Amino acid sequence: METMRSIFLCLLAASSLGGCLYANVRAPRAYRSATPADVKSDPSDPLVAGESCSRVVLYLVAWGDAGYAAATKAALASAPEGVLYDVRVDQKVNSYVLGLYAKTCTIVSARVAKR
Amino acid sequence: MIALWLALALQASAQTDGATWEAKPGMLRLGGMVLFFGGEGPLSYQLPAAGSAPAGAKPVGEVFGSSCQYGLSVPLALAPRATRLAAGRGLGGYEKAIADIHSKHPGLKGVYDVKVDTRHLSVLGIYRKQCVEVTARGFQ
Repeated sequence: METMRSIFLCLLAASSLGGCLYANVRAPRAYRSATPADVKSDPSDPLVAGESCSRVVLYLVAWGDAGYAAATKAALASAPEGVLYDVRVDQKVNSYVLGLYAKTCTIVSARVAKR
Repeated sequence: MIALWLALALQASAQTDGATWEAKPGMLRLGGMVLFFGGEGPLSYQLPAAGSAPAGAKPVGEVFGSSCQYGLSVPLALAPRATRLAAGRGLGGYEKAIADIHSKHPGLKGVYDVKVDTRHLSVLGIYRKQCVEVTARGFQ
């Protein structure tokens, strides 16, 4: 009981300090993706997808990289020198048990042009 | 709860409802009583697309640059809504981030296929750092 009380007081103290013990997250801000007219596109260009995620636990600790750079890098894993075009970007959120654990992902779907 | 809000709000705020050249302020938010703030943050930037490199340009591969704003927000008491004293500074805008790219790659003529992310670092809500990170492909 004393241990639980101590933990509760610690969490309360932590929450008084801005409500977040530690946060180190990357979020997407801007991305001007290419259209088929901007690159040398071809109907046979492969379709690729990539995602990048950040997480938050117990409303206190947040970490991860959900930015555009990580998501596009994941999409280009099979063709690092290619250029993405016709890019669709979605956001996926998974939240469990009243948000005690939440994961937010940036999902990039696109075609890859050689240049 | 605030951490969950932080994670979701960061994502939501990143939705580019308008074009990238439209003003979208990205100043560091401190809260409390701000004693001093002398910072610069991103507002708008017409991001070059993949096809905007001039003909004959020589690609140099992926380039990266960042610029940050820093802040301190100290609570005056250990209470849920304690008054906070805050201060912040730093050049964390697009200009500094692009200049950082050019300083790392002398001779670079420009960039294209630009992705911009925002990195938020917060330790106990007291020390805060917000960075604009530009990842792009460069050309000479």
